[in-house]
Order: sequence, then C-alpha cells, then structure tokens
Amino acid sequence: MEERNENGIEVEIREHSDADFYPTICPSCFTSNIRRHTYKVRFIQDLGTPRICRRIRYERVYFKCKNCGKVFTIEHPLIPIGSKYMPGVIEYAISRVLERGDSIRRVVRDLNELHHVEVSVVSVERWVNKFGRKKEIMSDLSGEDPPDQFSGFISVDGTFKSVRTKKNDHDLEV
Amino acid sequence: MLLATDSLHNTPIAGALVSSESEAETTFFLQTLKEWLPKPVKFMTIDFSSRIESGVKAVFPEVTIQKCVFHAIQLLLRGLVKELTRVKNERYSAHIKEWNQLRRISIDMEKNEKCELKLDLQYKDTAYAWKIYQSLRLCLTEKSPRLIQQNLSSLFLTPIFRSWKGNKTFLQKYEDIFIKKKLKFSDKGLKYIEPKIYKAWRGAIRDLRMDLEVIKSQFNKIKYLILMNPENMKQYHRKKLKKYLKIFPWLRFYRKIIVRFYYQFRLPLQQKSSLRFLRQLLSENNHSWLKSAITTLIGNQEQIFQFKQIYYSNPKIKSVRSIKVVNEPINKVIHQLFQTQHGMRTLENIRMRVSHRLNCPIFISPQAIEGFNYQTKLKGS
Repeated sequence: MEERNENGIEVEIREHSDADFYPTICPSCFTSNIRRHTYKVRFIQDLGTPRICRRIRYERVYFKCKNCGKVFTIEHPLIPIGSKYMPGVIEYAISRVLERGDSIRRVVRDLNELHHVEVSVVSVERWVNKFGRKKEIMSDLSGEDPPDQFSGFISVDGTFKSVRTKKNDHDLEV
Repeated sequence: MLLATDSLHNTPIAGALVSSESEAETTFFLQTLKEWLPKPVKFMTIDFSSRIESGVKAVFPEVTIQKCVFHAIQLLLRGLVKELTRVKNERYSAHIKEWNQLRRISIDMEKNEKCELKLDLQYKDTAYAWKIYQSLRLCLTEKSPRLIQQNLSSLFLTPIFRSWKGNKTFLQKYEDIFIKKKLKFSDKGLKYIEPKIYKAWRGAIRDLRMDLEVIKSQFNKIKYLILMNPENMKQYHRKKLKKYLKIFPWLRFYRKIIVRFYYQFRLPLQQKSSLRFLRQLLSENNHSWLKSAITTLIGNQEQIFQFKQIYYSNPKIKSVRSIKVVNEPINKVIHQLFQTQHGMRTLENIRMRVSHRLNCPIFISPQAIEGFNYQTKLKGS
C-alpha cells in the first residue's frame, strides 16, 4: 500500500494483480506449462476513508501457454472485468439510494467530495435502475414470495401522491 | 397508493399503485392480497375511508374490522379545531373587525362631514361606543364654545357615559387636551379642540379593541391546550391550561368532554361507555366538520373499540399498538421519498423506489397503467 499527497488530497494506493492468482492450467490444452506473457495497469476507484482518495492499481496480466501458445487472462475475484469502480462503490451508492431513500445527486456529491470518487449522476442512476429492476412492471403478486411469518392481522391504508410524466419521456413499456 | 402492513410485526407486506382509491381498485388490491397471502386474514385495521371498508367487506366478509384509533381522535380534534375557530371568529375576530370599522367610519365622517348615523352593529359595546360618539358629535355641533363646554360637561355626568367601559381612557385624554396641550374653549381654540376630542374617543375604543386582541391571542393558545390528551400533558401544559380556563370558564365544558373521550380508550372493556356523550357538543350553529365527525364516531364506535375485544381475548398481544392504529409512519417514509425525489415522474420509478425502501413487493394496478399510458399518449400527441 502506498500513500502520497496530490494537490492537498491524501491518496492511498492499493495494489492488486492477476499474478496473485497465478493459473495452474491452460484453459485450452489443460497443461500446466504457463508463463507470464504481458501486462496492462489500470487504476480503479475505490471507496476509502472519508477525505482520503483510494485508488486500486490493478495489474491485468496476460498469460501464455508454452504448449499451445494460447494467450489468456483470468477473472480477478475482487475486481469485475472492465469496471472503473470497485464493487463497494456501487453497493454503497445503491444502498443509499434504494434502501436509505437518499437522492442520487446527494449520493454523487458525497462520493465526489467526501471520498474523492469521480462518478456522474448518470452512472449512479444506471446502477440503481439495473439493480432495482426498474423496467420490471408487476401487475400482481404472482412472481413474489409471500411473507414467511404472517400473523393474520393486517392494516390497510392509502396515501396519495401524484405521478407526473417526465418531459420527453414516453417509453413506458408494459 | 394502497399499502398493507402486518400489524403484529409492524412491517409492510405489499402495496399497490392505484389511479385512485376507488372501490374497484381497492377490491382488486385486496383480492390479489388474499390470493397471495399464505394464511387467511383474521383482523384488519383500516381508517374511516368508506371505499376501503366496502372493498374489505366484499373481499374479506368474515374479517373483524378495527377502525383506526388515531384517525378517530384526529377526526374529532379536526372538527373541534374548526368549531373553536368558528367560535373565535364569531366572538373575537368579528368583534375586532367591528371596532376597526367604527374607527374608519368616524375618520371618514370627520373628513367628509357626512352624517351616517345609523349603523348595523352586532355587538353591544361597539353599539354603545357609537352612541357615545353620536352624543359627542351632537355636543360639538353647537357654535358657541361655552355651550359646547357645558354640553360636554353634562354629557360626562350622564349614566350612559359613566357606564361606558372606555370612559376613563377618554376622560384622561380629554383632560390632557387642556392640561398638556394648554388649549382653551374659545372660537380659535375650538378649531384644535374638536379633532382632539374625536381622537380621544378613538383612543378609548383602541384600548377596548386591544383588550379584545389580547383575549383573542389567549384563546388561540388555549384552543390547542384543551384538545390535548391528558396522558401527553406535561406540568407546564397543565399550569397553562388551568390559567387560561380561569379566563375562559365556558371552555371547561369542552375540556370535560374531550378528557372523557380520551379516557374511553384507556378504560377496560366493561367500563367503557357509549360515545353518545359527544352529542352534548352539538348545537345548531356548530361547524359542519364537528357535526359529521361526531355522527361518524357514534356510528362506528363498535369498530373503533374493537381492539379492546382483541386484547381481552389475546392478552399476549396487549402491548402491540399497531393493532389499533394503521401504520401511519410508513406514509411519512413514502412522503419523505417523494420530497427527496422532488416528486415521482414515472410509475416504474415510484414502484422501484418505494418497493426497495419499504422492502416489500409493490405492484401496479392495470387501471393505473392504462391511465398513465393514456396521459403519456396525450402529451406525446
């Protein structure tokens, strides 16, 4: 772990490499004669302690089978393929928006200012919509599991809120 | 939005986004719920909405209905607030308005020299003050200053003037004209004395109006104190209530009935009396909200106190408050969510956000989807 100061911001850099999970067999010919071929370094944003900017220095390693000549990569258990953010950042944003009921803009501001994670509103909105299964519209409860511990005592109440149609947004697919 | 909550566990079970709280949509929601739930529903807590009630009776004919206690109390309190506001307007606001009207008319009369002597005044003291004003004007119509002085002196000795509430303030201001301002009754002085006499009268009625305004503000304070539940009152509330009840003894009648109403929820099943005593609050001029609240409460009293029967037969659940009230805090959570979002723009969004926030499935009724599609089509075209 490396620590440095960039423009007054404390930066904490952690290192992850595919070489830590060195493959034992080739996925093509299943022999164990493998060597390190080349690598690429990527910086991934992570959720650090408040006011500290945490970045992951990820070394994506390409392996080569000496037997069949196949160049291949492995899937790192902590870092999803092609992601610019660690899963913790996404989980944090989703839980705040969907479970805590915070606004997306507020979460984005906190991520930007407090944790120095550069993320846009659109990205968080995309994560929320994907995780929250926004496009799924249920017109009954058949797809849901009933509650395990139902007491037989229920209360029913109504609350009234208006739903406004968004300007230029008419793609409600039913 | 309709929401069903498990009363014993106090957790939301399922909800539905509906276009309106109509009987058809309520029935659809309850029917879906009935088919989905693993156990039959024995007991249901609802508010005073007739549409929900008819839906419940249609889908769950065998269920025991409890009308929400919180809504029952709120119903009566809203009616009483309306009634007390009506009383305040009638007794104080309209009275203060009449004093202001009197002042304005007197100024107009002095400016334009118009004599609009007949006024339709509702209150005795304003009518009395107006009578005094007319007498003063009559005295001041004389041309000789000496005659005016004599007439005024004799007016101040009359029983009508002496029994007037504002006489002391008026006489004090009248004397100031001659002592402080050092004016004298003469042809030249009369030009200055005359407006000052009218001003003294206005000063007297201003004081009377101010007294009334103080009483009105005290009434505003007691209005909410007398509606308080004795259980929730702290020492300083009690002290204030005691103080204000001395000023407004007629409000003791209201307080007694309200306290009796609150005690009905605490008394054991056998000692509970009928809510018919609330009829004592009714009179011809009552606000319509109070009348309908009392009628509704008396009509639904059996269902309001149903929870006592449940507690009596199941002592284990005696501490569960959500049996007698609907889960109102959940509505606050939904409201908060709407505020954060600055309103919801699509049904998909509201379903997703509410469902995850409350951790329960939410579905959209077919009518709501149809209505929403129709709206978007209209906007699109």
